Order: sequence, then C-alpha cells, then structure tokens
Amino acid sequence: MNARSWVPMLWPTTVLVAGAAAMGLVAADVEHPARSLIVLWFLLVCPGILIVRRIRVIDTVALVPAAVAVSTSLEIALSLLMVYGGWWDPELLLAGMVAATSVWSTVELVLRRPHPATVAEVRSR
Amino acid sequence: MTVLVTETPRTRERPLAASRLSIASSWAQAGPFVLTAVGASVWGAGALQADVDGVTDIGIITAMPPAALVAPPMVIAAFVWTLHRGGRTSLLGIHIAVLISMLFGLGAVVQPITGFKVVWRHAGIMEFISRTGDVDPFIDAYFNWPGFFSLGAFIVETTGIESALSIAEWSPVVFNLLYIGPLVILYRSFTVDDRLVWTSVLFFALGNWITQDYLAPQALGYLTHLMIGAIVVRWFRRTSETRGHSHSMARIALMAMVIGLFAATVASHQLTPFATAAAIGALVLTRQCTGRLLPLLMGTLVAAWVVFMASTYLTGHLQQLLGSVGQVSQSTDANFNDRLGGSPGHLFVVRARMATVGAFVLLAAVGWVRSRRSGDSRWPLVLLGVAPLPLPILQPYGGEMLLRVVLFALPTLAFFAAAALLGARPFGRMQLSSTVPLFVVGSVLATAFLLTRYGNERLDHFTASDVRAVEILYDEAPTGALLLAGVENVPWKAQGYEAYRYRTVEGLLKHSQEARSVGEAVTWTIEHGPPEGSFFIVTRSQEAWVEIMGTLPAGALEEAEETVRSMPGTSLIHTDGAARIYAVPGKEKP
Repeated sequence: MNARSWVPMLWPTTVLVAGAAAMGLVAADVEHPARSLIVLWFLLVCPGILIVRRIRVIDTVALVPAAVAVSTSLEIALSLLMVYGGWWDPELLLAGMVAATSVWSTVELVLRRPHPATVAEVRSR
Repeated sequence: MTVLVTETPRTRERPLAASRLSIASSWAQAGPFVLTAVGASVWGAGALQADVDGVTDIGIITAMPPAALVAPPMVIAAFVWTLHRGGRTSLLGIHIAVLISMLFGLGAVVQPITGFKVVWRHAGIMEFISRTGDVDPFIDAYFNWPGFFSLGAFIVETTGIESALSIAEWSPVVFNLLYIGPLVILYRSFTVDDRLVWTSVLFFALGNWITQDYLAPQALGYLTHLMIGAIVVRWFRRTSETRGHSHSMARIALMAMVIGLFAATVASHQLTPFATAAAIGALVLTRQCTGRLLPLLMGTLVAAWVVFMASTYLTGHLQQLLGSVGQVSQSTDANFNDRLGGSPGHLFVVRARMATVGAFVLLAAVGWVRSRRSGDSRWPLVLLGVAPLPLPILQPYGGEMLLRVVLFALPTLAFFAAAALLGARPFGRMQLSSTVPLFVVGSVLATAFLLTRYGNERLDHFTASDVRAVEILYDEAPTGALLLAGVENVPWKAQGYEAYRYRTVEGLLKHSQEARSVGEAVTWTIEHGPPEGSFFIVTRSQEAWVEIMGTLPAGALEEAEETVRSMPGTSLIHTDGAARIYAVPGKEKP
C-alpha cells in the first residue's frame, strides 16, 4: 500500500479518533480547553465529512464548509427532537453520534475500499 | 579554437546564472507569503497595542497605531503578486484566509470582552434551553425558531464551556472562512479562470462589513444559503453539461443535502429561508434550474413551520407582520431614513458604508457589462443576487432588511466587481493595467473596512465595568424583579432570560399609547412593577449608544436616572463611576 492509498483513510481515522477522544473527555467530565476544542471539532466537522465525502463531486476547498453545514443541520434536527420530545440529554446525543460515526468510519476502514477519488483529488494527482 | 574560447565562459557562467535564476524563482514563489506573514505580524502587533480608550464615534480606526494600517494593503499586494505570477491559483486562498483572520479577528484581539448586545441575548437563550431542556414560545420570537439555539445549548453542554460567550468572539473569523467553500463552488460554475474565482472571494470578504457573522442564527443560515445556492447553480443548472448526469447518485445526494440544509434553516431563522426560496424560485421561474419542485417544497416547509411550530408567535403578531406588507414608506423610513441620524462621527460611518456599497454596485455593473460583451451574461448569478431585493417591501425587519439584502447580493456584486478589474479573458497574462487597479481598489476597501465594519465599535463593545455592573445586578435582583435600563445596549440576558421583566426607557417611550415624559414613563412603570422590586441600571455602553445613535432625546437618560433616584425607598447599590445600579423596593399587591 503506497502513501497515496492512505489518503482516503485519513478522514475515517480522524473521525474515529476524534469521536473516541470527545466521548472519553465528556464521560470523564474533564475540564480543560482541549475538551472544548476536540468536542467542537467532532460536532462541527466529523458527522458531515463522512457524508459529503461520499458525494464525491464537491471541491476539496469546500469539503470542510460543506461538512460543517451538514453536521450542524443534522444536530439542529436531533437537538430539536430532544427539546420538543421532552428528553433533553446532550451527553446521550453525543454518545449516539459518536457511535454512529464510529460504525461508519470502522466499516470504511475495515472494508479498505476507499471511495473513488474526488474530482479535485484526481486533478491534484 | 573558437569553440574552446566560447565554451569555456559558458560552462563557467551556467551554474551562476542557474543559481541566480533559482534564487529569483524561489523569491518570486516565497515573496508573497513572506509579505503576507509580515503584514499579519504588523497587524497583530498593532491590534495588541491598540488603545481601547481611543475608540471614537468613527470606531476602532482611531485606536489603531497608524503603522498597522499598512498591513492590509501588504496582504493585498501579496495577493496581487501571486496573481500576477500565475502558477497555482489555489495559493491565493492562503492570502485570503490570512486577511480574513486579520480583519474579522481584530475585534476579538482589541476588545477581549464579547461585544454586541445581541450575542449576550443569544447566549442567554442557549443557557435557558441548556438549563430547562425546553423552549417556551411565549417568551419571544427566538423561541419560535429555536434550531440554532438548541444546537448552541447542545454544544455548550458537551464542550463543557461555561457559556456560549466563550466562543462567540471568534465567530466572525470562523464563519467568514467557512463562506469561502460555497463561494468557490458558486464562482467555478461561472468561470474556468481560478484567478477570477479567488479575486471574487477576496472582494466578498472585503465587502462583508455588514456584521451578520457573529454568534447568531443568520450567520449559520447564511452559510447554508450560500451552500444551497452554490449546489443548485453548479449541479442543477439547465445546461448541456448537467443534463447527462440527471440520474446520478451524486445529484440525488446533493438534492437531499439541499433539502436537509434548508429544513434546518427554516427551524433556525425567520428571514434566511425567504431569501433562499426567493433565489431558487427566481432560477426555476427563468428556467435556469432543473429542480422545478424545489421552490414549492421550500415554501411548504416554511409554511408548515410557521403554522405548526411558530403559531404562538404568529397569532400574537399577525397584524404586525401583515400590516407592513407593501408599506414602502414605512420600510424606507426604518431601513434608510432612521439610520441617517446620530452623532457626526456616526453619520460619517454610515456614509462610508453607503459609499462602499455604491462602489461595489458600480464596479459590478461595469463587470456585468464586460461579461455580457464577452458573450456570457451569467444570468443565474445575477438572479441569485437580485431575487431577495423585494424583501424590504414585505417586511422592514426592524430596519435591518436593507442590510440583509446587501448581504444576500454580495456574492454577485463581488464576482462582477472582480470581473470588472480582471477582465473577462480567462488565463490571459495579467497586465499591469489589471494588477495596479486591483491593488488600489483592494487596498482602499481593506483600509475602509476598519471604518465600515468597526465604525460602531464604541457602542458595540462592552467594558469590564459594564459586565461587572450586570453581574452585580443579577446577584442583587430577586427572580421576578423588574430590570430597567435606558436603552437595550447592555450585556444582559445571558442568564435569567425568562426570570426577570426586562424594560428600557427607549421601549417605554416607543410603545406608550399616549405621549408621556421620560419621568412619567419611568415612575408609572416602577410603581406598577412587581413586588420583588425594580432595579435601574446605567452603564457606559448605554451612554455611548444614546450619544452616538441619538435614539433617546438629549438628557433623557439623566432624567430617567434622576426620576429613579428621587423615588421613595430608592438606594444606590452599586457605582464605579461609569456604571450605577439603583434598587427600588416593590409594593406588596393587595
């Protein structure tokens, strides 16, 4: 496996690590700026990046902004469900998101079938 | 012989010439980045040395060391240098990212205390949801569109930060960096020339003085608005290029993404969905978009939310909402005439903003004419910018609609303004006739940004005294008490959003049925206040607001304070010279 073949696995690995770190820090109730940064990164970028990467046609420079837009939209929907449903439990929602993104990332990593490269990635090669 | 004579010097000169060329080439490559790094350093040092007390009615520009003002033109020069050199145009994005961090991060560096009264209010709504896990639609309009705030509450709870205020200061930088992504998608739909793409992004950043990128639903809504517009124009445009891919999975996923983003915006902000739906509707009506049912779906989502989820607000404000439809003079007064007031310094800032918008419109018109002459009118981009223009006729939106319309038109204005300066020929060699005007216009806009963006800094920022006074207010006032201020420009409501009755003298005068003096209005309100008592707070931020904006008659704040001070039982519970708090005991209800 050459260096380039690792590139498509970077995001699933990042999501997996960020999710585990975020959940660990929240579960241990760590009060440190690192917790804020890691959880914020996970919530804003990770769920969305798994989705927008699959769309494949989005320009590389727009991947993270698109991921933030998708992540926040998803979290708006889920947090509103909690609020209107009367079972407000942010930690449970975080755990659910970490679990879902971890499963998704693990499947991508285990199958070792990186998605076909985006247009921009092909161009950069 | 001749060969030997001529070859020897050549073989000696070649490495030297190659080395010189290599150094020149390296400098040409690294030079712009060195220039940007120096510019950013000069700017950072200047921001750290800025004299906060030197902020005047024309804003932060008077507090900055003069040497720091050369920094933005340095980064513009680096951008133009990279553009002139050619090569990898994506490197242009680095200069823009640095410039955005410099310009939009200035407020956070100069004023470490979170500014903008609205941000404190937004933090308070998030605190309410975080504390109660609920929304109360009867409190105010925000609770009828709580999407962004429930997201904020979720983030505050899980990140462990004390309040959303902890991350609010850097929101403008983050949002403006995020806006780059959809803008690049959008602009690449209209040109294959990446120089024009990145110059348009630069102009967008320089024109975004409108300050709707703080921690607010509209800032996130604008990201989704741009993303939806970009996706629809790029992948759902009625062109020969897109027809062949009409059934691809990517297009289905993109459409799902558009609908999801729009639905989240509908639940978060009152205005943005209308602007987005208007833009997409205009594309469909002019047969520029293949997603013909999209406007219908968008309209249905908005209507469903208003009828089912925001009905509490709707029933209480239906007359107010419908009454302003078509009231052009009312909208003009609220959006234009009412803004042309205040101190001479403030008027200067307002005129500078109008001049900037005027310059953008003029440049964009020139760019569009040049674009048409080259055979491409780029109608979808024009429609995206023009479609939200009728919104002020429907709603004055508290006098802010015109600003929002400019914001929604900005991507279009920025593109055509850039096209006016770069010309329509793709990949042509950059001439000095293009680069010099680009540098001049860019530098003027970047320097003017200090005036247009930070012109209200004296009233937008809060001092330690303002914040301390509000903390003491919450410590002293029991739940249910009346909290009265001269004007709304107070760093309050970040806690106890629903626990107190908040009033301002400005609001009492504005909403009073009959003409009353300041003294009468204040006396009546306190005498009919709750049994928990009333608290009157005066801060520097309020005095600055009244002085600059002129929303209260001269001497009204002093008259209100004198009235409270003379009421029986009143005690001064806090003073530090700049801020004062008075407590008036409440009367037991019979």
